[in-house]
Amino acid sequence: MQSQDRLTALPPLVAPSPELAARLQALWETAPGLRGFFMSVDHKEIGIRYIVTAFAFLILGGCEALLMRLQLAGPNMRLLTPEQYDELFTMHGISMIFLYAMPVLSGFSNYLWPLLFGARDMAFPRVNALSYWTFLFAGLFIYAAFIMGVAPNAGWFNYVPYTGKAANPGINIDFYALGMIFLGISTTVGSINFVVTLMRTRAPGMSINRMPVMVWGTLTASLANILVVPSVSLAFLMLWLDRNFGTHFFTVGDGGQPVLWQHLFWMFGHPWVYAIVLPAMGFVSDGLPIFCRRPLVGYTLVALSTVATMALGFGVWVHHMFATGISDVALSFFSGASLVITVPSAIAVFCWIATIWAGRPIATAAFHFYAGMIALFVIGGVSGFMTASVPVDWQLTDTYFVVAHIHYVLIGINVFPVIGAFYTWFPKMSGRMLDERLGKWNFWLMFIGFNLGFFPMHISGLLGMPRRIYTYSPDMGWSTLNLITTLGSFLFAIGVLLFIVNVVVSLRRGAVAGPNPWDAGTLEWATSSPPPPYNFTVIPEVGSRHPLWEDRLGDAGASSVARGFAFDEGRETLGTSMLDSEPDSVLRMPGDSWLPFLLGLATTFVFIGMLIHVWWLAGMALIACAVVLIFWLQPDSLPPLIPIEEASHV
Amino acid sequence: MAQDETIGSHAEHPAPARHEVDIGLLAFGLMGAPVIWGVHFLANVTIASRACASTEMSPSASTHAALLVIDAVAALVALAALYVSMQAWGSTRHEGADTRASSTTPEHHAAEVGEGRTRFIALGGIMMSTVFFIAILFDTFAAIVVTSCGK
Ligand code: HEM
Ligand SMILES: [Cu+2]
Repeated sequence: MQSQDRLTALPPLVAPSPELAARLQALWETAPGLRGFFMSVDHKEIGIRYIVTAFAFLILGGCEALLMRLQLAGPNMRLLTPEQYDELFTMHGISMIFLYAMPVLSGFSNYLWPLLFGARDMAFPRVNALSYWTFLFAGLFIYAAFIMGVAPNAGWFNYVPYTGKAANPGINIDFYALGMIFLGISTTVGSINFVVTLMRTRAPGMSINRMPVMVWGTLTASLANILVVPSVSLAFLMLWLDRNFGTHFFTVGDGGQPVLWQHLFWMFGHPWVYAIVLPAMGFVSDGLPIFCRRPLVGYTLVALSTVATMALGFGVWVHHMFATGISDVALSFFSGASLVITVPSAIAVFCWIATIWAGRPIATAAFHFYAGMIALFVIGGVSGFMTASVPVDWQLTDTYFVVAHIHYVLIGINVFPVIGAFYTWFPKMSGRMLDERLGKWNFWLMFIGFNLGFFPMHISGLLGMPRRIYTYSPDMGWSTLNLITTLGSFLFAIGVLLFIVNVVVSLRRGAVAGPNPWDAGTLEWATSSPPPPYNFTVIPEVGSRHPLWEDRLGDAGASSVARGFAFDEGRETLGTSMLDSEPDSVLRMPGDSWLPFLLGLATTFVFIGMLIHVWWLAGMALIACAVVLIFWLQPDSLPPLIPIEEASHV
Repeated sequence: MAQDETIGSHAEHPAPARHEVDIGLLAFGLMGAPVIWGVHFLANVTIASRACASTEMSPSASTHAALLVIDAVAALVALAALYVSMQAWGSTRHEGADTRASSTTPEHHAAEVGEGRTRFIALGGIMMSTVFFIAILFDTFAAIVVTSCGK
């Protein structure tokens, strides 16, 4: 979005025509080949890259987990050394939480938002590309440590004093500290882009009560990220200073406090875990209605329960710190807030069940994943409710019960909905259907494998098995349970593998999807699959929550999808107001650009310089960043790919 | 306010009742309870932690009273937000009535078909105020039962 021309009158509604489509194609097409690869700012391209990259990190993290499970399959195994085990559980946690769970959701949101909104791109296409490149480079930065054998090794929440210089003198933790500050840039600019996109680019008429629910999920997640990422970036910066320059933020003596780390980390960490499930809950809220053939029951309640969950989520961080010696009176407030959070979550669960109940469900593979998610969410929610109680948590903390809980919520509320979303929207992205029969095998293997593998962890936890141990003695009575867990884990992994097979096979041989294979009701299904670079030949006008279902919902003709606004005088999209989406301006959008890639690359060298203390490198790279930014911020530079003269709507 | 109307739009405005309820009131109904909950939460935690910093016994009676007063004030603000939202909800029953399928009640309609942005915010306000009122009650309960610093 570069400049805004105030709109004084709306152009006429026109029908799409081949000439219009050809004109838009010329305006919006990304350059071909390698150049296009580096220069693309198309949200669909970026969204798919996000998804593929995140999935690669899921596979890496999964392999790390399977290695751990092999080591734990029986007592006293010697497959891994304790040091290797430490690095594996840490890299596993980092990969899953930071490099898979959030980015995969950002990928879906990036791909889908402009399509859900009837817009031509995100509000800031170049910032979008920047957020992808910085995510990729930050992920590679952290994995470079792994490859060099100096991976972070103190768990994903990285507690001081384990991570202080005294206990952990290697470069391992510095990699993680700088990598997280780096990744924070990606998350922050991405979140800002989502928020502004929502405020400015929805189709005319799409008031906030007509947005798909997943938009609410990503919106709340983005707002939360903007607020809390500074906390973790600051914490990691302070830790890096402690480790490299002898400051004492977290070391005892000279007024430092290790527990300060825990506060700063979890003020970020808890909202973050909601940020990695709320958009996925949105997939379920938007996906279930498609397969239940009716609108979601209680849209308002589900949408607002998302917001309520996140708001309460800012006041629960100390439930990760119940055992740190904070006074009971203070703990009780955090415990109370943690218990209340189940209220909005339960509202969503009841609305989903009611939707299935009141609809006519079609048991597609996607439906299986959404329904499975509801079951797992309930189990994970109950174990979460248990650990929200202070005395119960004192018994359970740092045992396998917690490992069971995090996997029920993260695999249950992130991985299952994400695979469901693949089955639902893969046809839109690729133009081909995923195989349904393989899909059901895929679901049952994952579902059975997951429960077989992870439910017994509750019991091993209750039997006293601590988390983060590399082995155990046969006398503990944990051996059978651990063997079952390992078998289940591998079954689950085979299920995920089957999914990848399905994707690869279907990309070649899947049935051709057509624009709306599920006969769904929202705007993304109004354009072809895959959509053209400009998304919609004409920008629709929206008059209800389900523009494509209006005939059968008794609301015929409220929206205008077949006819809409052309906006073909340049790379343009329509700017609308925040609450009621009233059109007010034409937004001119930038085209292909090297700047995001270059800025991402230069930033990488800033962090490399800081890591190895080569200050001239960091300094030069910083100057390079400034130069790129000067080009980026050049006022009114004409988007490079606009062959037609500028829009004149003044 | 000319720019308030959709310029030359072809469809009906999504919030026909937008001039009937003050936007500030709607915003208070929606956000009043969560905001006051946040403020009261920080205040409670700060007061309790400071009072317990130097003792393992119960904090003083005045500390306790302070916690309860804060809870009471916060609960009242949340109830006020609930009241405002219910008023807005009640006074805009007609919003979206013309596009409403005949079989649905106004409540059902706003919750599921979703016409009427004004009503949407009002209903959201009812829900948010209720949830955060309960959250404040939980804290009050905690302040009453947990009386020892007990580290
Ligand atoms: C094949 C699938 C998976 C298996 C077999 C698995 C297994 C494990 C194991 C064995 C541990 C270490 C337990 C310990 O020693 O304390 C662990 C920790 C963890 N897992 Fe997974 N996991 C899987 C998938 C996932 C996914 C998809 C996520 C998140 C989206 C996830 C998030 C975590 C986290 C956050 C930890 C804690 C790491 C730490 O203690 O620092 N896992 N997992
Ligand atoms: Cu938490």
